[in-house]
Amino acid sequence: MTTSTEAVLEFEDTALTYRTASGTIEALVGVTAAVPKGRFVSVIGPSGCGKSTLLDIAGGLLAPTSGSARLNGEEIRGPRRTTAMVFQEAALLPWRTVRDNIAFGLEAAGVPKKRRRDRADSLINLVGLDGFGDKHPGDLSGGMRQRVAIARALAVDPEILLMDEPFGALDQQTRMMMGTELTKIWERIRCSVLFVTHDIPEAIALSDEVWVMSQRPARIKERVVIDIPRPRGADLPLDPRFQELNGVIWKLLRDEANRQLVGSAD
Amino acid sequence: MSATLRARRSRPPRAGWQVPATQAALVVGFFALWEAGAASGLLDPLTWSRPSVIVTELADLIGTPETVNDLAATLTTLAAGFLIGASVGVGIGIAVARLRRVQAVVSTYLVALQSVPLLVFYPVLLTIFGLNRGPTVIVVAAVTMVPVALNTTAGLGAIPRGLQRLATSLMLSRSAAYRKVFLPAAIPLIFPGLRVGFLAALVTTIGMEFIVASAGLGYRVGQSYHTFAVDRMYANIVVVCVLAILVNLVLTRIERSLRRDVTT
Repeated sequence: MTTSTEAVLEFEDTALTYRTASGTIEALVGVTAAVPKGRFVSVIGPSGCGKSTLLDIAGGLLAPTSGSARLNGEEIRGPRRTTAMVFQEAALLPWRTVRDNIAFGLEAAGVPKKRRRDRADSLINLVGLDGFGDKHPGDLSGGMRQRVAIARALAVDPEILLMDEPFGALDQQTRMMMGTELTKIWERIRCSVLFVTHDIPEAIALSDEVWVMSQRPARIKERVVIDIPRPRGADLPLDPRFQELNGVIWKLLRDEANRQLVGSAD
Repeated sequence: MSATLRARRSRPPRAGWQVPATQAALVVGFFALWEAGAASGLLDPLTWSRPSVIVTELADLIGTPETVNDLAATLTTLAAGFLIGASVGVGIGIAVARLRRVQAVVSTYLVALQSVPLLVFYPVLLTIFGLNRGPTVIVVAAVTMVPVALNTTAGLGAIPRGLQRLATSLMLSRSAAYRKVFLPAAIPLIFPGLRVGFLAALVTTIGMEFIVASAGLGYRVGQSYHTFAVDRMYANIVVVCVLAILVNLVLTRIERSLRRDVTT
């Protein structure tokens, strides 16, 4: 089911080493994996393991020290307009209205005013913010702000959407609601997504595939295919398959956490 | 107790009549005492003048070509100095925030400059530029520049990482990133710098006019003093105060409208 589709984002033996005053730090070693077109892939792993590094490489914000990262077959050499990013902080411009925030990526790309306005309005509808187009970010809740950030990213019709713990700053309740909401949105548009998280249920609920990262230096320890049919409802956590997968991923992560504890005891 | 606290927080004090009434009473009382003191001979008229005389003097003053001329001189000096200083300050602030090496060298000087009364350099400037408006405008620009530069640097240094990553990931050009993201995001800190800079500019303008000018409100106050025209002096002081209050009100308005949407 996942193998036949073409890859949008490919990592091939991607590695990244930081040089600091006290020596070199290997953040990522030999990551080889691909995000198939139109699939939702999550990256999960121990905190500080380099998940976000992988995402920054995909977004062209960081360059790998060896190996390659390709988008639609082309080497990633820097940021591109067709790659959209959503960060943990909504990173909205508080002096702009919701509509103008959503249109900001289009404005940066030089899309004419009328067209970006229409596009922004249709995205306001998609993310369920009807009636909030003229409000400012300060008037919105944390969850609503993150919807604006998602709409801004989707507005440019990206080849891939890169999300770096977008719900990490939200409280648990809002976080779960946003997960359900994102699943609904995604099931309507089916764009390619690479999603970084440390929340197992969130990863399972959203994804077609979950990459479990190892302790630093990080590589992909295991790729878990999430074979739960869509559309997925709000009762997903009660699904036995969900619980089974939850257990599988939890064990993988627990092993890593143990390794970290043993490692730090040395 | 927590209940009363909450009640207080959720309901801001209603704009009643007591506060403005008290304020008005204080002002009226102050001038009444002053007038009474002067009338009874308790206050020396050559030092203190008296409100009723100042008011008639003020009425004579307003609209005379001389006053209009003074007002124009002060305002143009102030505006020129402030605008030059503010632009240079924002420019230096950007440079310091952007370039680490510049920051290492310049920021110490800026902080030190903040405590130097730049007014004392006027003799140097006089010998360079001569006895004209130039030295005044330069000193006014200098005192404006320092707080504006410091606050611009601080504001740009406090830009959330998310906005920086946004600007990078959207491939904004450097100038577009500053125009559309970084400078507007820094406004909540830049504006207080402009505010402090403006007050320094106003004080410096009037102060320099005492020393080197041949027109302007500061010059007129000084000149009235030197010619023992105490009533005229007070009338001119009133004009300066009213001007300061008016300009401050305008600035507050601008700041409020700029900030309304900027703070999250």
